[in-house]
Amino acid sequence: MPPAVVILSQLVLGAIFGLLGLALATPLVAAATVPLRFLFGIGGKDRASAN
Amino acid sequence: MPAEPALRQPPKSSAKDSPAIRSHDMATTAKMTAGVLGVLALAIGLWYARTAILLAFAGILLAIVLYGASRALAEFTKLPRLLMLAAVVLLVALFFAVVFVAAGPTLTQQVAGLARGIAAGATTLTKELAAFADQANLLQNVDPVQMLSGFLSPWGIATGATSVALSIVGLFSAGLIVLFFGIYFAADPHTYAKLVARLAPEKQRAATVEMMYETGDLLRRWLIGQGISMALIGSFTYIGLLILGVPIAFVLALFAGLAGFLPYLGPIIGAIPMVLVAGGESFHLALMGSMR
Repeated sequence: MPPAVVILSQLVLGAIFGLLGLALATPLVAAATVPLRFLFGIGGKDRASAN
Repeated sequence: MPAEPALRQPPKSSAKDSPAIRSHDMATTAKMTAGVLGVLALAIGLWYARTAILLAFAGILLAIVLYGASRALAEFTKLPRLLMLAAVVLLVALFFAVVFVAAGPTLTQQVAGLARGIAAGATTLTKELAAFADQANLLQNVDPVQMLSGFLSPWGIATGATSVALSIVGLFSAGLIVLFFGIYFAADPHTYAKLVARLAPEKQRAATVEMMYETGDLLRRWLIGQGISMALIGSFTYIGLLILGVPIAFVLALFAGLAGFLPYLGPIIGAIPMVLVAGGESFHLALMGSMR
């Protein structure tokens, strides 16, 4: 994930869920990208890692 | 407001607005309303259970680590994977038990030494501050405790003695919940994956399972990266503490490495016991330790 996305997700999830949200923000958002990619029909391949 | 009465008028009824269609519309509307209310109720329920859900997610992360470790060990030793899972859990538990039993006495001794040092240091500091306050009343209105709690409260960290005790109990039980979630998920992950897939419509089940394994793979790779980062933090902290000659360097470095999982606050939390233990030796060492 791009660094700015990581920081934004940490800030937002930290604001919503407190310390636990801050700690788990990166894996949660990273995990959420997989179903989203399936939903939008680009699933299967990890396109982000290709850069 | 002149527009209000016009809005309240029912729409002009057309020719096809027969009673049968109207009751059909009402049934649809009722169903949709019930659906929306159901989703809202579910959302409210999930919101109240947010801590439990996040702890379950943390348990899944632990399970990915345990599963990966046990599978690698099983491939290496050619023994059953479940046996290796038990071995991994027992070894990690034993490791932490040995480390903390070995470090416990030194830790309490050092913190007690620091408390005495702070008492002595605080007296001199208060005298100097009193002399300074005669010239400027700058520091009169600053309450460090209030400042700290004001800074930490957005992150959900409570301050005060009772809430600290409560959060320690909460932290302990949360740790246990995550531990058991992790062990059960790691023991038989495929059962849980199939269980979740049953929630999907029949046509989508294969894709759902595939999606979950892909998510697991992504998280596994992220956890490996996180593990490398935490190991580096721990190792460099250990080397630095050894150079400075701080006691129980290994435990302090281990704690700093584990705290490295938490972004932003992790390095600060990891440094607190370091400064406390180094402060038991001397204030100079504590200052050096805080600069690591």
